[in-house]
Amino acid sequence: MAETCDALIVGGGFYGLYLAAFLAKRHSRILLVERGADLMTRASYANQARVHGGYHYPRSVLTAGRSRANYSRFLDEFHDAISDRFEAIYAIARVGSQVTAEQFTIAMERIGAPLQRAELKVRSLFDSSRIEDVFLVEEAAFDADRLRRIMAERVAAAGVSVKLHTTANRATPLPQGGVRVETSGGAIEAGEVYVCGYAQTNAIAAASGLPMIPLKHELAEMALIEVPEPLKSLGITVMDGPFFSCMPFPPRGLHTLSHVRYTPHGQWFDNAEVPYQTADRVLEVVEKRSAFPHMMRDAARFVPSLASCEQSGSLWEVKTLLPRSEADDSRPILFRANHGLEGLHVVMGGKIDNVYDVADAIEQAMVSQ
Amino acid sequence: MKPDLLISVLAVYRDQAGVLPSFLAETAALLGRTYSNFEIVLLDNGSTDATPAAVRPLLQQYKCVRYLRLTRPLADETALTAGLDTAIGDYVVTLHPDFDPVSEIPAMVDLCRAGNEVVLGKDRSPPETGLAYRAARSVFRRVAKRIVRFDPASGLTSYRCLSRSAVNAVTRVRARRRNLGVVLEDVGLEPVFHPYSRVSRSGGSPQPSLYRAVRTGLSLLVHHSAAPLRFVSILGVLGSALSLLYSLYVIAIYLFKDDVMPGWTTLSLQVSGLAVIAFVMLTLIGESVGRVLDEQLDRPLYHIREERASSVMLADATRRNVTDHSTDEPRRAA
Repeated sequence: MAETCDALIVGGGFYGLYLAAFLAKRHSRILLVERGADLMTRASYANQARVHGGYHYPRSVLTAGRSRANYSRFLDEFHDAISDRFEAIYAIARVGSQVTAEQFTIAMERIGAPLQRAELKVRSLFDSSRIEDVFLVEEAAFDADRLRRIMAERVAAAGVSVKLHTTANRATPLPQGGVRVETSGGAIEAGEVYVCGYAQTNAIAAASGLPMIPLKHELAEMALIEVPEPLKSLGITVMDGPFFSCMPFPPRGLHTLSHVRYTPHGQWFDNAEVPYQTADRVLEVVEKRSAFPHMMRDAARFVPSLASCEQSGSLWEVKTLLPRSEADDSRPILFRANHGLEGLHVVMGGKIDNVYDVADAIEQAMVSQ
Repeated sequence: MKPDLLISVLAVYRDQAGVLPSFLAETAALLGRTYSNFEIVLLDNGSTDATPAAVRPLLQQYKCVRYLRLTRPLADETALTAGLDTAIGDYVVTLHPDFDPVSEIPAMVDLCRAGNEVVLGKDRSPPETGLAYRAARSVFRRVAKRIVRFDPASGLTSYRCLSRSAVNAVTRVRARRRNLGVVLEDVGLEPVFHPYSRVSRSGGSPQPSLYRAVRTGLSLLVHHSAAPLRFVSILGVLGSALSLLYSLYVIAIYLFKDDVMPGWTTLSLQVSGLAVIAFVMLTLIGESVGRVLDEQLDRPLYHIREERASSVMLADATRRNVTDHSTDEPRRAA
């Protein structure tokens, strides 16, 4: 006896939860399945906790501008999850940066992102022979634990049924329309299915004989660190090249240290040529040797006081990207309607605050039907 | 017990595509055995051979390798600056992938760790040089000692080890062509020498070229000191003084002698007058250029065309780990 619903969301990360609440306004019965023991425990948790304000994309005015627009919206909607005890600092490197301090300033002015030169106390934390200039910006950090509570409440209030410890496997079309999904907790027959699996996006396709969506996966490590006193209230990002960020991580009361060069520990692709392997399998099996010694030493060349930071483990997670994102600063969301099956839609995005673009795309798709 | 250090090995080179695979294999193995953390930085100083293509599979095979390619070939010292700027290790070892034996790395690092900020490798048996080269060298040494007050040690190679603080001090001196030996003197770091024997992966041998040596020597004299220009100024002052004296002599002849050839006076005065003007100009220009040289020019010394890091494909790693052997197969010795 299969359970029925109007829409089934596969994946209990931030995107899945947001979509579930969004769709609940239009459908009466929504089901969400999550393979883990709790919601928002994977990529929605293990990230830099940064709400993007456009500062990260000085070379793409379009991406930066949209990021800035989403920023205010996110802050409004989720202000209870925002951690405002931190000052966000952006520093431009002298050598190896793709933008100069002046270009950065101009780009941010263009998109209306507030920017001011940091005060002397903060500037003196940086090695001026390696850093061209230091700016105080308006960018917030979110607390994943608080965001999880907000989304869980929202989804419950919207009448969405959440099933944890439930893995979605095969998807087959139903003769009367809709999709039948076999899960570890029984079969579900849904009018529509939205796959929000992030790194596990292709799992259903692989199990169902559907085409793979070409994706690139990276095994990513963020070191969790205790920073010395002057850095405790700061979130630092060095731009714009193979540099690093030292961002507050509210759920643990620590900071994360991530480095463009040392955070990725290896990569693989989902495509038709290689046998599929799940992200979880890779995480389980690959040797995880922390790159913290490298991260810390390079970071200490720019911010000398980071030499005395202490590591308290690392967050290891799989980061999933669209293979095309590498060429430029664009960060599009993938939204594939009716992928391989009528009624099976795939959503894949890498930035938490970009969820609004997904909702808009789905809204448009619904309107056009 | 591996020491808790991160060692950077920096190879600044040009056109070494044939040698890189064996160099990387040996270096990665040695560093993996000896140190808990390391990085190997390949700094491509404008290679025109197949190096970029040769490096791609190597980056997929070895972890902790970085490849930086400069946009055009630069002086060795400038390329070295690019490498030192980017190395992150507690100790940075530089070497030539073809001619410097990888096995000396631990000895160099140990010597550096013993409290010496800078260790410079010295070739036990430097290559034979011709008579012209040796003559030029001894002249240069004498001139350098007088003018630049610097005695360049002989037999120095590209094998060096610098501590982190030495790297920081040395990279702070931003000058277009700077000889490391002179910079060390400026900064006050006295190097320690480590003799070793050079090898050859490719079968070739390093060719000391008189032309390059003369260029380096001249650059050493001219770029590191305003002394040559002072010499020009002195010549200028002397020249103008002598020409002025000569002009006075010409006038005196005209005044006190009776049978002066018509036209001689004016001609001589014109020539010596012009000489005075020319020498005064030379003196002033020499001094001005000296001022300019003394100032640091704030242009970037180099531009990195591309930087690529290790991107080990995990597919292989998981496949190796996934296969199960139900029996104990005899394992080959590592």
